[in-house]
Order: sequence, then C-alpha cells, then structure tokens
Amino acid sequence: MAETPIPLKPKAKAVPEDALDVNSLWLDPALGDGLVDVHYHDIPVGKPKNFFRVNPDPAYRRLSEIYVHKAEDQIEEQTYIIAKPMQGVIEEARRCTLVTVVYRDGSPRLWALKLPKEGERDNEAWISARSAAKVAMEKWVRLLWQKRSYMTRDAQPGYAPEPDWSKLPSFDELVRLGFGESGIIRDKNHPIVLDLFGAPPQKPDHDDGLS
Amino acid sequence: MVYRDWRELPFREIWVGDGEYYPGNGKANGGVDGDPITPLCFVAHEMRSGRTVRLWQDELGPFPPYRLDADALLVTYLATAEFGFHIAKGWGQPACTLDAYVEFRHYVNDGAIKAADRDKGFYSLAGALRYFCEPELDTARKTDMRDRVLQGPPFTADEKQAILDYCQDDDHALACVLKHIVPTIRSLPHALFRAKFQWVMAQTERRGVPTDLPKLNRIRGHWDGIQLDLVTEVDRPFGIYEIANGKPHWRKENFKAYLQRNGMSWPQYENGMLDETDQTFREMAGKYPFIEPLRELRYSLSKLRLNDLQVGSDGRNRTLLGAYGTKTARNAPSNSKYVFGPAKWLRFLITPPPGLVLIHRDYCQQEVRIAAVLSDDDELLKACESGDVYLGIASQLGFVSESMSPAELKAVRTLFKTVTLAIQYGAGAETLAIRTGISLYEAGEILARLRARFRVFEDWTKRVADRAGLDLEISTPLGWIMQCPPHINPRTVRNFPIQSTGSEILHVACVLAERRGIRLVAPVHDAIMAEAPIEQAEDTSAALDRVMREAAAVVLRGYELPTDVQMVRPGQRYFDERGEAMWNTVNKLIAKRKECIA
Repeated sequence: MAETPIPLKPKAKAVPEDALDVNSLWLDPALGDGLVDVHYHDIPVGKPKNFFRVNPDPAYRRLSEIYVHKAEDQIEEQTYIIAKPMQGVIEEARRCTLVTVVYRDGSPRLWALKLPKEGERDNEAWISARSAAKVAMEKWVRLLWQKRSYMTRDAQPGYAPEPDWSKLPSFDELVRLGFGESGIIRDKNHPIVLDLFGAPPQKPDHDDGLS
Repeated sequence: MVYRDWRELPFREIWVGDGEYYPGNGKANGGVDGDPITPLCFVAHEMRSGRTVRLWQDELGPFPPYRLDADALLVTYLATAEFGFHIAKGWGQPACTLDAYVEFRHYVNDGAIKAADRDKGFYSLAGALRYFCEPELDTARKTDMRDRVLQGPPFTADEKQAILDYCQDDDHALACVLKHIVPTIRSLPHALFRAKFQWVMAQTERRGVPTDLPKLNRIRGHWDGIQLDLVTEVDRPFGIYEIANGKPHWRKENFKAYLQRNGMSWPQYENGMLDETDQTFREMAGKYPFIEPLRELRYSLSKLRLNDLQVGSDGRNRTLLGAYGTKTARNAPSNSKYVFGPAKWLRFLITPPPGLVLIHRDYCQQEVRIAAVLSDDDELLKACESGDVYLGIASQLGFVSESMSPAELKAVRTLFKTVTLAIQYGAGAETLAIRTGISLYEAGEILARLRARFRVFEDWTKRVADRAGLDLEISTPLGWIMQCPPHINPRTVRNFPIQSTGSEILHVACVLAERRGIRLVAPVHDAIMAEAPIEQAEDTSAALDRVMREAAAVVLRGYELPTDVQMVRPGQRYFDERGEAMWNTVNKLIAKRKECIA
C-alpha cells in the first residue's frame, strides 16, 4: 500500500529546483484532443429492449401525435410523427409523449408513450409504460411485460453510471434522425395520408418525362 | 528547432568519441564479465577543426581530451559505454552529450515493426551506417578488436596501434552517422536530456546489483546435477514433463490434459495449439498463480544460462541496462545477463553487502493511474484513490459486496487485475474470457460496464488512435515519438501513451535521484533499486519516494504517483513471491546433493 494517500486531483505545486530543466522540456502531445466527433445518422424509435434511462430534462420530451403503420404484406411497423398542422386529422393516430431514452453505451432512441384520446379510457399498458418511463428517469431499469402491463426490473449496482446527457444532440435533431424527413407527416399530400384516405398516388413533383 | 546540418549545431566544438575498456584486469588475467571496467584507450575527434586525439591507457589523465562545458558537444554511440569510461576515470559528466544510438533508435521507432523482425545488428553503428547507405564497417575486424581488448593486457605495440586505429575508424563512422542523424532530431534539448538519462544508467551499471556470489557459484556448480531432481520436484503437482534418456522433456499433450483436468482456460493459436510462450505463461500466472513454479521451471530449463548472468568478482551484477531499448523507450536489458530477468527465483540472490541496505521502490499500479491521469477520467481516478485500484474498479462496477469473504475478495482482485490490463490494451470479450477463465457472457458484461463507467477514458483512447492515424505518429510529453503507419496494430497505439509515459517518469526519477545523491543500482520496469548505508536507510528510502513522486508530478503535470517499498537489510535477500517456490526447491536440492556427496 502507498504510505501516504495521494490527492484525487493534483495540487499546483512548485516544481523542485533541480527538476526545472526537465520540466521545461514538457510538451503537450495533445493525444486526447478531439479530431472527430460522433454523429448519429439514424436513431431507433420504439420501446427500449434493454436496460435504459429516460432523459428527465423536459426539453427532451414532447407531447405529440404518432401513427404506427403496419402494411398487410410487411412484418415491420413504420412509425410516423404528425406535425402540428396535421394533428387531429388522422383518426388512427395516437397522442403520445415522445421521450428520449439511452442505453448504457450512450446510444439514444425515442420512445412514444401513448396517451388516451379525449374521452377515451386510459389503458393499463399505456399507464404502466408511462410509469416505467418515470422510474427510468431515476435509475437503470428494463421493461418486463406481465399479463397486460409493463413492470420494471432494476439493474444491479454497477451496471452503468449516470448517463452523460450532454452528449445528446438536440431533441429536434433526435426527432429528425429518428423519423427521417419522410417519417414526418406535415400535410395531406404525405403518401401515408393518401394511402389512409384512399387517394390515388400523386405524380412526382419533378416529372423527368421519361415514363 | 531542427538543425538541417550538423555544422549548425549551437556548439563551438563537436567531439565524437570512442573508448575501449576491459572487465577487471582483462579476461586473460582473471577478469570476468560483470567486473567494473578498466579504461584502455580513448580516441576523440573534433569535427569542426578536424583535430584527433588518441590516448592510450598511460596517457589518460584526470581530465578528458575535450571540454565538459556547454560550449562543447560530445557525440557517442551508446553513451553508457563512454560514460562508463568517464566514471571509471573520474572525468565527470559532459554538460551536453548526444547519444547517436538512442537518436537512431528514435528515428527508426516504427510501431508496426517487431524488434525480432529487424536484422541482427540493425541498431549497431554498422547497422546505422548501412541504414544511411554509407560505406560499411568491417564488422569482423570490429569483433576481433573487441575480443582482443576484452582479454586485457599485455598489449604489443602493434596491437596498441591497431586498437587505436580501430577506435579512430569508429569515430569517423560515428561522425558519418551524425551527419544523417542531426536533421532527424526534432528537438535538441530533448535529445540532450535522453543522454542525461544515459549518464545515470552508466552510473547505475557501474555500481551494479549486489548479489550473493558464493551462493550463485554453488548453484552454478550443482545446476546440471540438480536439473532432473528439480523437474521431478517442481513438476510433481503438474505432471507435464517426461524424463527420457535422462533428460526432461516438456510434453504438450500432458500440459493440455493438465489444463483440462483443472478446468483452466488457456490462449490458443488459430490452429488449436496452445500458446506456450513465456509471455503468455507470465500473463496466465496472474490468473493462476499456482502455475508460477511451472513457469519458472520451464524458463529456467529452456532459456536460463546461469553462466550468462554477469556477476563480477565483487558479487555485483553489471550489465548493459538497455535504455531506450523498446518502442516505448523502456529499458530492455538482456534477459540472461540481468538478475532482474524473467527467472524470478534468481532475484533471491540479491542481497546487500555488509553495512548497506537495498531499497526497492515500486510505483503502485502505475499504469492504470497514468491512464486515469492522461485521460482525465474522474471515475478512473476515483477508483485509483480508493486504496486498491483493482478492487476500486471492481467495486465501481458492482462486483464487490460487503458480505464477501477475504478469499472471494482476493479472487475478485485477481480477476480485475487482468481486467484492468485488458482496458489498457483494448482486449475484446473473447480474449478477456480466455485470460481470466470467466464465461464469454461475463467478460462481455464486464467490458460493457467498464466502457460505460470509464467512458471518458474510452473516448480518450479513441481520440489517441484518431490522432495517431492522422499524424502517422504519436508522441509523449518529453518528446519520444513512435511512427504509426496505417497497418499498425491499434493495440500498440492504444498502449503507447501509458507505457511510454511510465517510462518517462522513470527517466526523470532516475535523473533526479542521481542529482540528489541517491545511489541507484537498478531500474526494474516501473521500480528503482538504490543502496544506502544502514544508518541512512530510512532517509534514503523517504528521499527516493519523494524523487519518484516528484518525477511523476513533472510528467503528469502535478499528479504524484505513490510508491511501495521493500527494504533489504544485510543478511536478508530480495523477496519476490513469484520465485519463492523455485528458489526453495533449488536450495533444498543443493543441500540434499551436498549431503549425498558428504
């Protein structure tokens, strides 16, 4: 064992006189200087499948409307977010709170916590999901589906430290990355809206005249 | 500032120098490798004026043939040799020296080339000439001359002439190399500092590590006779060796069966063969300490040449300490000539002479602390300051609970010692699982927790790799550079800052220790051994601790590294638990043999 404990952070001490010449040789090799930065190009949207945390910052959640499209001949669901002017237009869309979730490796995802429509009864699955998200603002948890509702399982101590929220892009950026430009329903000309309302597909804006 | 031509160097005089010496009275007169050197001759050549001074033994006065102040530069090839000459003659330390050997090593320090892949003699003066496409030296003549010098006196007049001529040729060769080396030196002050460290190494080489020579001679005398018994004794719990025709043979299949019987994981090559290199044995002995006697036995039988251990007639182990001998500028002394080589049991031979104590100070868990400081990872620093780094990390990752027994805690500590090394090297889950004997899932989980907990360090290592990739080189605070070509192993890059910073801390510590009058006798990786009179033992130990802390603070900008101490008093032996079993067995067998002979 060391004979004297060492302070956690170095104290500014005078360099011994006989070490001044060596000290003057010190150069900063700049090894840790950032040359590159991490950029996300795609962010998953959906409920977290592993232990996760929800960002407690109100700037990282938003009341919104989403529509989950499941085409008959496709296994994958496609989630769309409804822009303000289109909210209330699509019957099938659901009100939700979109929250920001991270896994322990720092990777983010968006999770839509569904809310009942006006006059509609809240349901156990939605209530328990919202409650799980609240718990996940404080600690690392995992979702468990039990009968008709979600439960949470706490991660063991040491699973991961507090997330570093400062590394996240802005919420708007997360939404843009999560849904993509085509995943945002801004008006009635969106292909999904046309499909839902039985309208014929529109001609592309830029007809190159080849077809 | 880079000097494009040697003539631009800011010195009034530039001397290349080469001296010759022999051990003790010369090998022909009872001298042995390991004896303090006896200077024979010195030839110095001043490059600006063209003046040459040739001095035979009887002409070597109390002063060197050149000035020692900062207006003159002494240039040597492997400065510890010429410095050893200076020390033997009491000539004092030149203010400015350039070690062309170290600077050549620095210039060709390519992280993608393994030392073993270099041609034999690549780093020699002849190798440097070859590298710079200069006319080659006659190496056969060099060897003959060197061998003759080592034999010692008497020398005939012709031999004297030939030896001086040979020294002069070396000077000219060195002057030739210097012309090429000077433009490669990025910073002259840093190069001069490297030579200052060489001065300390020369002092350390001259003092040597005190050993128990009578004991060594007894072991040497019985070594051949006890080898079979040694194998039988040490190998008994393992059952790996087979005696055939009176000789012990390592059997791979027995080793494989032993591992299987004991449920031990072991690294393998792609073809399924077990990795049985000494390096792997050493690493695996961390996980399975009980195989240490087997490792010691294996090394001792296959690689150890007891007669190669360079111990002089005064019992001091003196050998080249190989400063700047690795990519990270750590020392690389000969495994067989140095008492601190891989055969740990030989370290029990180290014992102080009457009236002196040996002080061995070791930086505690140096590498992980350096990693924490360089990356500025507060979480890793916290783990370092928790008392025991390995348990600190284990605790932060949730692998330590209050209900654990001492045995369980020890197991966790052992596991996390390997894990901590894995962080530095960037080992993957599979490697970690094999090295620690845990499941792949557990290894993956530990690594995921490590990355999450010490994300600042993780990000830093990525940035280090990015920078090395962009600059095609990586450097340290005191200017040691490693080239990083695109095909370099990323682990070499990742590990470089930690290892080379550790090495620089040791350089500064040695230089400061020498300046403060501490008598160093050996550098040992991240430790230093010094000697002192008994009555000054505690003071010297405290002074050495202070030196080592302050050296760390210089390199790590204020962060001191703690040290551990082992004091070896007269009548005691240096202790290393890894070699204890083997040492005891060797002694037992020698005693038994002596009884039989009696």
